[in-house]
Amino acid sequence: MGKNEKAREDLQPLAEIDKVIHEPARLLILAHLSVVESADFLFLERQTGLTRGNLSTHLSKLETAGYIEIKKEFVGKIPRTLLSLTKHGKKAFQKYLESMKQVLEKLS
Amino acid sequence: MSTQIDVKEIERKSFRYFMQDGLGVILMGLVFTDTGALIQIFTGASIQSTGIVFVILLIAIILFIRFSEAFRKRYIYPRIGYAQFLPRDDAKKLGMRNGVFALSAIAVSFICCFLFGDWTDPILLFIKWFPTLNAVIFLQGLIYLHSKLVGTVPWVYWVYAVVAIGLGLLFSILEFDGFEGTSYWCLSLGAFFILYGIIQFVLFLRKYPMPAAEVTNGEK
Repeated sequence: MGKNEKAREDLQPLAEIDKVIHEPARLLILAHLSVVESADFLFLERQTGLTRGNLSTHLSKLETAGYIEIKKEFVGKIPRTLLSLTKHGKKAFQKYLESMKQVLEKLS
Repeated sequence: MSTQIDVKEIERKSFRYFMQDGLGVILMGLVFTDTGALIQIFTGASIQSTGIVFVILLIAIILFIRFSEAFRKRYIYPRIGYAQFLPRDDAKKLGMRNGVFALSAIAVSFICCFLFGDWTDPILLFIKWFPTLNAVIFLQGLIYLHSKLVGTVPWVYWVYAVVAIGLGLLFSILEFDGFEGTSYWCLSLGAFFILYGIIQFVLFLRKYPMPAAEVTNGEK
């Protein structure tokens, strides 16, 4: 096997990396949501350190991809945005972590 | 960026962030103080005065448990947000580790009893060293509970452990009638937790002022 062919094979998992998750801010959001059953907007904002606008944009993209579920509810008179990973999101996040691990192992 | 993602560390950080309000510590303090008052009643202290303290503390505990979630919804979640944590799936491994710890702690307790105790009267010896034994049980419970939730023990739990064991040894070495030493151990540890919990709560309120209404729900 030639050097180029081997390098191509080693980097094959890189081509399968989920581009939606690969963005740092979205990865951070998914990582935080993966350790909880559900969390609200403020919790994520404080934990990720993202601005409200930035967080909203990334959450919308993740929702469009079907990775997270966004529920709006009221606690008394106060509205709350509750976020959680969907089954599809959990699988995609796990797959992403495994793919990245493979790529890094092959590169090192 | 992606190589720096440590999900376990994120879990620990999130949990610590969520438990910083001090309310759990205050509740623990109330339970200990009330237990101390109850033991005082059984050790022959004035039933009238101690009984009133016991009933007041018991009511405080019931009200605290009953309204703590409502209180959190009103004053805590708007400041730091809300999260529902996942149950752990490595309880067996943690159970093994805690079992080893429990056996070591009991062994240390017996060594202390052997070194300082009078074995001619085992019942008296048991009563005398009951505060230390309680401290060990408490410590074990504390570590088990926390490791079940997070898997690591933050530094403040070591402070609790040192205070609990230190007071346990103090009230075991000093001479008291019957279970009086144990009641003092409960009362002093309870007072420590209540005070520490209140300080934690005040610091929490100062660190996280109530944000404007729209910040809490993420609406733009």
